Amino acid sequence: MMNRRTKSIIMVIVTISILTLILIGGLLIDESSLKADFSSKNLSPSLDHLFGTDWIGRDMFLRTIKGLSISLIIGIVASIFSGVIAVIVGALAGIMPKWVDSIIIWLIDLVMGIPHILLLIIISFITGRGFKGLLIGIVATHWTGLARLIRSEVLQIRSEFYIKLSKKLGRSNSYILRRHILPHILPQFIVSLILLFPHAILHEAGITFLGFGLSPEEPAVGIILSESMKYLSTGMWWLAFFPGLSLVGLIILFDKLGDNVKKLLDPYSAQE
Amino acid sequence: MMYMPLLEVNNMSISFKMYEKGLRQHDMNAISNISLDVDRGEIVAIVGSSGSGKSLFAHGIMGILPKNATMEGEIIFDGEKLTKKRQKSLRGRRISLVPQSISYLDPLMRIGRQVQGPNRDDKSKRKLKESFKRYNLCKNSERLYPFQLSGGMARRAMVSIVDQEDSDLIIADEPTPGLDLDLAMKTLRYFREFADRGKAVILITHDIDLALNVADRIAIFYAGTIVEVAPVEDFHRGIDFLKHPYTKALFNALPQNEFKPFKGNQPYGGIIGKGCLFAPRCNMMDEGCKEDIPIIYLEGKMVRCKNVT
Amino acid sequence: MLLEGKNLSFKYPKGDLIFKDVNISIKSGEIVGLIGRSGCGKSTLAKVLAGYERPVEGQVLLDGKEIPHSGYNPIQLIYQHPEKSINPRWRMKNVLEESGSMDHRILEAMGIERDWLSRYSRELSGGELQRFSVARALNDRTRFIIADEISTMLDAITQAQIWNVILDYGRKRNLGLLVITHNLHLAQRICTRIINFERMDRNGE
Repeated sequence: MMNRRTKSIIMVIVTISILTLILIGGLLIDESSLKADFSSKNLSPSLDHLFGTDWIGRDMFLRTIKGLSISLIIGIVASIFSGVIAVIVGALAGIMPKWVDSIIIWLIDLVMGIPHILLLIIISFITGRGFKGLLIGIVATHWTGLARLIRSEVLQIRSEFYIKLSKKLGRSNSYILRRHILPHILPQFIVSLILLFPHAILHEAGITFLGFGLSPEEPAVGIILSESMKYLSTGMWWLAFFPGLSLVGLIILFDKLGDNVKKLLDPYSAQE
Repeated sequence: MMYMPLLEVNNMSISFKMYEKGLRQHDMNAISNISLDVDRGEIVAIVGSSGSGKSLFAHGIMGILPKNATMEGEIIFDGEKLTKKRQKSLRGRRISLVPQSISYLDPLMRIGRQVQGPNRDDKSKRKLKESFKRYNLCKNSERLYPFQLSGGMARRAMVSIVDQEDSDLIIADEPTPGLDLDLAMKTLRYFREFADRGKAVILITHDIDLALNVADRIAIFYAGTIVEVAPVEDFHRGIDFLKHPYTKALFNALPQNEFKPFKGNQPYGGIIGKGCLFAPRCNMMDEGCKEDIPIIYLEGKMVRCKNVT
Repeated sequence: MLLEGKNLSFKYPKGDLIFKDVNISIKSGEIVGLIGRSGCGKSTLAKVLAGYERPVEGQVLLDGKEIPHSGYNPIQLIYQHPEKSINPRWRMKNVLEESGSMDHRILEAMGIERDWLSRYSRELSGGELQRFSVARALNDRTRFIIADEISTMLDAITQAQIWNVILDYGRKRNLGLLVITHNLHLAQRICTRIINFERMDRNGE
């Protein structure tokens, strides 16, 4: 009988392996394997072509993997950048004088107040679309939630009696930051960061689908889905079904990963 | 007729599944072989240091143990076995718990509603009025939220919640932490009234001083076992009337007595097996203390020590 | 040495005045008991004296001088709730190291067992934790100790043990002690002088 902690560890390992496989798979799939092959176009799913083929004979399984791996890379890079911004801004808000905090809160509310998609489209459009524009857009819109979380954590822990006591024991601010505050926010930060991935990926796919994100040469899932729309009415359901399903699967994987990492990092739930 | 107390606990043991370092899991015995009875009209105080298992004992009776706990033994309530199902149906009705902290009040609900509970008929309204009067809560405090009450009022409100149901058994878990003597005594008097109205009261506290003020019998908990149950008079009569070495040590440590500490620390739960758990600290320890310790019944009291006569 | 609170008044922002014009003085070697009703402001006074809160009026002086805000505070406050004064993510060893109090004689007298040092606070009981908060304050640099209900939540044996260690240490180092308690027996047992907070003479003691 496995206990919960073992289960969580296995789940984390399995999820990370699947994600790594997708990433490596995406790197191995190059232009040549996604060439048009008119001898096998419009095939429905079979053992040769698991996800079927499209209107110019490209294998949909390979395209989906490639698309997912692009989404993954964008998700990872965007999350890391958002995370770094969030830590700096959140910690500043928690440590600096009140007026700095007020400005930061105002900024967070401003960014959060505008619908993500709208802001993303505008930023992506201004910065020239494509990979770079999309990345800047996602980072600029996704740091807020995490920054707010870190700010409130820092504020909360700063009011703890043991922090004030540390000061009366003659400890410096930098000691308190290193020894008390950072170890406290780190686990929460990691979990939130993991849960940020699916957000970033979904927004990337959404914006690309709408035509404001990646260009058609980059076969992201969003591109695949928007191209497929034209062919759905001809009965080629597999063009959108499998890539869409895989995208949902990827999101669920991240969600599970976040949950399990949380169980492992949070010492209090470990004893149940 | 046979003596039939309202609550009878026989050989209650509670153990936990715990994680050690990494992934190993083991069972930890938190309390073992506790037997105690409580009858209508009396207050039995459970006194012990933190970690002696006194709250757990209460949770075992209420049936609100955490999921990773297993309970053995038998509880008989009002002549019938207290099964899990029965616990659930009696909880909050015939068996009530007064929690430790006033933060157990719902901060977003008016006091009147909280005290009255889910019933909204005339009868429960009348009862609410009665107990507000009894506990000196003014009429318009019904409309207040918990944050608008003073500490003493909030505590009285919690007591009046219990007063709404015709509970036969009331368990109070550390009802007076951090209160000044005056306020603590007032709170304890409410429990004395409950007992005088024919209810059975279990008072859980670490403060033996307070227990001595209201209880009829004192049960001393140590490392998850009961070492002694004695009528309160024995404590007033002096140390010679107390039997167990731990009880004596506790008595001697009071500032109004010797104010004398005692060597050693209470062991952690998990040490299963025979023998007295206090033996390593005891001056009277001998080889026999490693064997099964008999429970000795003297007139009106119970002691778990083989050196008692 | 002399610890003085002069004409202290305190209120939280937007709150009512908690106390006004309080004067209190404690000499080294004195053990002063402070009693009074729950919620009358004793704990707040403790925080003001130990520098955790600034008074809205008045001063806290040590030998006539103000106490610097950084560096080790010679006036150490021990709090009623040890679980709040210990970082739950730290092992107890680190807790002691934070103040540099690793005197093995004190740990021994306090009944702190060796294997507790590698534990986290949630693995210890309140009584065990409170011994660490006390041990942490018993330190060469400490001149005054303010004990705010430190043994209220403890059983009688632990209470006697902790107080015996504090009194012993205090005698050797000539510390001044302010003991806030509801336990009159305790106050009468250990204090050289007892003040009732509500009947304090507000214009010079």
